[in-house]
Amino acid sequence: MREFDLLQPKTLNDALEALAQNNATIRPLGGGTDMLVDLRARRVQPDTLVALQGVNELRGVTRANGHLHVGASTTIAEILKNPLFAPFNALRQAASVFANPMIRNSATIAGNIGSASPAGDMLPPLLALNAQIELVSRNETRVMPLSEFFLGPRKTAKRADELISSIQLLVTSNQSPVSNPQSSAFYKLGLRQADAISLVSVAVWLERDGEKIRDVRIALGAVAPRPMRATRAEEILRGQIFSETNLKESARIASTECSPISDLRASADYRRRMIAVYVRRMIEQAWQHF
Amino acid sequence: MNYQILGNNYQRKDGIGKVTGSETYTSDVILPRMWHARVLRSPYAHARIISIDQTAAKALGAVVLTYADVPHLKYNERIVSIPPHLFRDRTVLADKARHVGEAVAAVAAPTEQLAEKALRALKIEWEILPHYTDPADAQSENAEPIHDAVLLNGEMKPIENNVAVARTVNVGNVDEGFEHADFIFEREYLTSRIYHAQMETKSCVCDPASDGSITVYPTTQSIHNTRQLLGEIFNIPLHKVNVKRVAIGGTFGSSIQMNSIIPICVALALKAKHPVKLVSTREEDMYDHVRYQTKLKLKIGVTRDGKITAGHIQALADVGGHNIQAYALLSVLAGWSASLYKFPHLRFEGKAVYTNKTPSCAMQGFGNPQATFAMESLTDEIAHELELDPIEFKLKNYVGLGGTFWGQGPSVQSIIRSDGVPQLLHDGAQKIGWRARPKAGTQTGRYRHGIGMARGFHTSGAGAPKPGEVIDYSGAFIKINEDGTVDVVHAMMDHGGGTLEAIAKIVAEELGVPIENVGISPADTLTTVYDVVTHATRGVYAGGGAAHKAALKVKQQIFEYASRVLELQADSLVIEPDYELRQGVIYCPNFPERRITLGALAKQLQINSWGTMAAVESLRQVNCPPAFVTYFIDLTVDTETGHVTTNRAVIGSDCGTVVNPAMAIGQLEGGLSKGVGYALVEDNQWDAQTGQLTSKGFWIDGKTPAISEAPFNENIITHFSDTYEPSGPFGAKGIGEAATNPCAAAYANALYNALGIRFTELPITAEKILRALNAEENREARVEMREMEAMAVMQAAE
Repeated sequence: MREFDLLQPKTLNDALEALAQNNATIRPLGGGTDMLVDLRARRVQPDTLVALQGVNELRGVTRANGHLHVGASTTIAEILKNPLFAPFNALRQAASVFANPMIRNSATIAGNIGSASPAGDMLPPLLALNAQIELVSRNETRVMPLSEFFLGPRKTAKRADELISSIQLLVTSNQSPVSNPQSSAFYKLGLRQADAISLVSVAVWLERDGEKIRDVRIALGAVAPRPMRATRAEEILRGQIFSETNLKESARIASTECSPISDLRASADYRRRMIAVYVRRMIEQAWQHF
Repeated sequence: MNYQILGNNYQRKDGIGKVTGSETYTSDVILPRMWHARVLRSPYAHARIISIDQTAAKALGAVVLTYADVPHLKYNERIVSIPPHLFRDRTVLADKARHVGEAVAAVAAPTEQLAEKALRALKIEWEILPHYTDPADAQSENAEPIHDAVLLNGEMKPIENNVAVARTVNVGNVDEGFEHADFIFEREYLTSRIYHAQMETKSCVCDPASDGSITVYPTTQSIHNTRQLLGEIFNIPLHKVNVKRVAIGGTFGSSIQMNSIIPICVALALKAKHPVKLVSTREEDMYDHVRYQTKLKLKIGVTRDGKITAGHIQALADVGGHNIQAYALLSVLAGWSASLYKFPHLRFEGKAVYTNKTPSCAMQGFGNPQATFAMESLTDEIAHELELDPIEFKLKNYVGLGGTFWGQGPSVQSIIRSDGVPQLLHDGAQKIGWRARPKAGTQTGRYRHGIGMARGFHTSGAGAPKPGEVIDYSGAFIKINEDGTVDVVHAMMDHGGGTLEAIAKIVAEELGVPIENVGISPADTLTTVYDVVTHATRGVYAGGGAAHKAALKVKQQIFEYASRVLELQADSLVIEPDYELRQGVIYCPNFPERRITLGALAKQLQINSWGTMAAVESLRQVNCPPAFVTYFIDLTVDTETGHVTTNRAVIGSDCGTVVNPAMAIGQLEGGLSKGVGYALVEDNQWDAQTGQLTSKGFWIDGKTPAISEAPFNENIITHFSDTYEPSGPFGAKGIGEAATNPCAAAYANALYNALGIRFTELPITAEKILRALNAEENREARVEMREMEAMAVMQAAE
C-alpha cells in the first residue's frame, strides 16, 4: 500500500473545496470497504483521500414530497434497520445478502454506487426502483436517473470534483387508493449463500392493475459491463396479463439481452441460464407479494 | 466398559481462553525489542533471480536476506519419512522461484510499516523461465527442469522430466485376475487442488539470545521436528534450540511440520540480533500449501455374482513447486484405495510430477479423500450395474475383522482387531431410510431427491507392526504434585480437535483422579520428550497411548508408596476419584476404612523426603488400526439451477472407545463441513498463462461453504459403533481425518441416485450439474429422435 494524505473535512463545503482544488488523484472515501481492498491490491493509487464520515450533510434518510432522500453515507446496515425502507423490498433483500454484517456496518450506499462494479449488490434494485442520483460539486448540483450514471466497469458520469450527495426514490404506498399496488424483489446468486460476489443478480419492480402487469422494470447485475435494465424483456410483460407464457418469454429475452463473460466464478452460458431462471422467479415472487 | 472419566463431556481446559480471545497464538506473542518481518514473494511462476538491489531497503534501516545470505542446505519441511525416502528440495530462501508466491528475499525492521517499505524498495532483476501448470506439459521432452536434482539420503539425486517420484506395487498377477472377471469397469477420477483454509495464517516469532541459542514460537504441528530441522539448517546444537508450543488456529495439515516461513524468521532474527515476528497475510498463505490434486484411473474386474477378481490403479499426483511428501503419498494412495476391499490381484502405478504451482501438502486425509472419492464412486457404480445393493456389494468384498488391512499402503499394514463397519452400515442405513431411497434416474420435475452412501477410514497413526518408512512414536512425562494434582508434560499439538483434552482424560482415568486435577503443562522442546507430530489421526491412539503408558508406571509407584503408608499389599489397592474430596482416593476394597487421598500421600512423600512420583515413557504403537466412518447423504437438486441442498447427513464413526463424545461429534460435523466444500464448491484454479491463482489469493474467490449452507444440527445425525480397539488406550483409536474422507463420494453417489448421472470430477459445482443435466437431456432427445426416425423408416417400408 503506498502512502497518501488523508483529509477529514467536517462540512460538505470543505470536502467539495478539497476536491475542486486537487487533481485527478484525489478520491472520496466512504465506508472504505472497497477502497481499502483496492489500495492493498494497488488497483487505485491516490495521493489524497477525502474521508466523508465526518460530513453531516451526507447523512440521514428523510421522506419528503413523495420521495425518500437517502444520504450518501447511509450504511447498508441502516437500510435493513430503518423502517422508511420498508416499501422497497428489493433494496432490503439486496442489503440482507450484501457481503457480511461487519461490511454492512461500514459500507455506504454511495460507496457501492461510486465503485460502479458490474456486480455491485445495491445497483440492480436501485435501477429497478428507478432511483435518481444527486451529484454536487463546488459550483453546481445535478440530478440524473441512476440508469444514466453507469458508463462501464468502474466508470461513472461523476466528475473528479463531484460527490454523490444523495439517492432519491419515489415513495408509493400499497395503502394509497390513488396509485396501483407495487412490489419488488431481488436475488443474488453467488458461489455460496453468504459473503460472496454475485454470479448474477436480478431485481424486478412491478406495478399491478387487476390481473395485468401495468408497469415493470427488470434490472440485472454481473452480466454486462455495467448494471443494466432488460428493457426488451420488460416490453413482453408491460400492460399484459400475468401469465406463465409471458413470464417464460420475458425471462428468455432477458437472458439474450445481457452480455455476460466467462470468468473464474462461472461461464457466460451458465450466467445466461441463471438470468432466465431468476428473472422468472423474481417476477413470480414480486407478483405473489401483492 | 464402565469408565469414570472417559465418555463424559467436560468443559475444555482451553475453552474459556479461546472463546474470550485471551488464548495466545503466535501473532499475539510480543517480545521486548521485537522487529517485524516481511517476505518478498515471486510474482512469476518460474524465474531465476539475476540480481537483487538492496541499497534502498538497507538505507531505510532494514535487515535484508537473500539466497546468498542463508544456509544452502536443502531441506524438507516434513521429516517423518526415514532418510532414504526423504526428498529434500528447498532452501530457506529460493535461488529461483518455482511457483508464484515463492519466498526469494526477506526483510526485518523495527516496525511493520518500515518493513513493508523496505520490502517495496527491493529491486529484483528476473530471468523468466517457461512454466508449467499441467503435469502433462511439465513431463514433455524438452520441458525446462523445475529441479535439476534433489537431496536424498545425503546424495544428490537427479530429477528427470520433472517427475518427482514414481512407485509401483504388485500383488499377485492382475492379468490373471482380469481373466477371471465377467465384467471389467474402468473410470478416471479427477480431484481439485484446494486450500487448507485454516483460520490462523502461518506465523513465527524467533527470539535469539547472546549465547547463540534461539527460542521459537511457531505455528506448527510438531515442535520437535521444527527444532531438529532448525538445528540442522542453522547448525545450532539442539539444546540451544527451544521451540515453544503456542495455541494453533486450526491446520488441516497446513502446518504439517516446519513451515517454510519459520526458517526465514529465524534467519532474520539471527542477522538482526533482535526478536523477529513474521505473520503471513491470507494471500501469502494461500500461495503456501494446497491439497494434492490427483488423477486416479481405476480398473476393477468382478464376477457376475459380485466378487472382485482384480484391481489396477493408476495415480498421477500434481506435486507443485516442492516435493513435501509425494513418495509417502503414492504409498498411501495405494493403501487408501485398496484397503477396504479384498483384491486377490492388485497393481498400483503412481507418479508424482512437479509443476510451477503452490506446493501440495497433506490436507485432512492425505490422499484419502481423493482415493475414497474414486473407489467409493466406482464400487457404487459396479453394484448398480450388477443390480446389487451397494452395501451388500461392499460387505461381500470387505476385508473384515481379523483381516490384514493395508491402511497406508503395502509397507504400513495392520490386522483389523476392532471393526464397527457392519454395525455402522446397518444403523446408518436405518437412520437415513436407505431401503426407501428413489430408484436412480427415474425422477422428473424441478426438484430431485437422492440418497447416497460411502465408506471410509483413516489409520490411527502410521506405526505398523513392521518398521516402516515413517517415524511414529510419542512420549509423555507425568508427575504427581504435592497436593495430589497431576502434571502431564506432552509435546503433542492440539489443532483444536481436543487431542490434549483426550490425553488428560486418559491419564485421569488410569490414575483415578478427577479430571480437574490433571493439568496439561505448557510444552516446549527443552522440557518434553519427543513426539513425532500431530497428524495421521494419531493424537488419541498414539499420543494418548504414550501418556497411558506413563500413567501406568506412575500408578504403580502410587500403590507402592501407599502400601507403605497404609500397610497393605500394593497389589490389593485401587484408586478412584472422590468428587466430594476432589481427590483420587487409594484404598483396598477389602478394608475400605483404611484409605488415603493422593494429595495426602504425595505430601507424606515430601515430608518423608521419599521423592516424587513421576514417570517418563516413549511409545511406538504397533497396530495403526483403521478408524472407520460411514456417510449417508440425503440431498435435493434444483434442476433449474443445479443447486444442491443437503437435507440430512448420517455419519457413523468407529473410533473405538469414545473419549470426548461432544468433541468426537464435532469432528464428524467438521469433517462434513470440509467434505461438502471439497465435494461441491472449492476449486483453486491456476491461470496457465501467468501461473497465478485465478483468485490471485484473494479469499473472496477462494470460497469454502458458508455456515448458512450447512444442514441444521438436528439434520446432522451422528452415531458411534460399540467397538474396543485392543491396542489402543482404553480401546480408543482415531477419528479426525476419517471424519471427512468418504464425504465427496457419498455426495457423488447421492447425486447419481437423484439424477442418474455419474460425476467423476471434483468439485461437482452447480454449473457442472446443470451442464450434465442438459447433456443428458440432449442425449435422451437424440435417442428419441433416432427412434422416431427409425419408426418413420419402418412405416415407410410398410
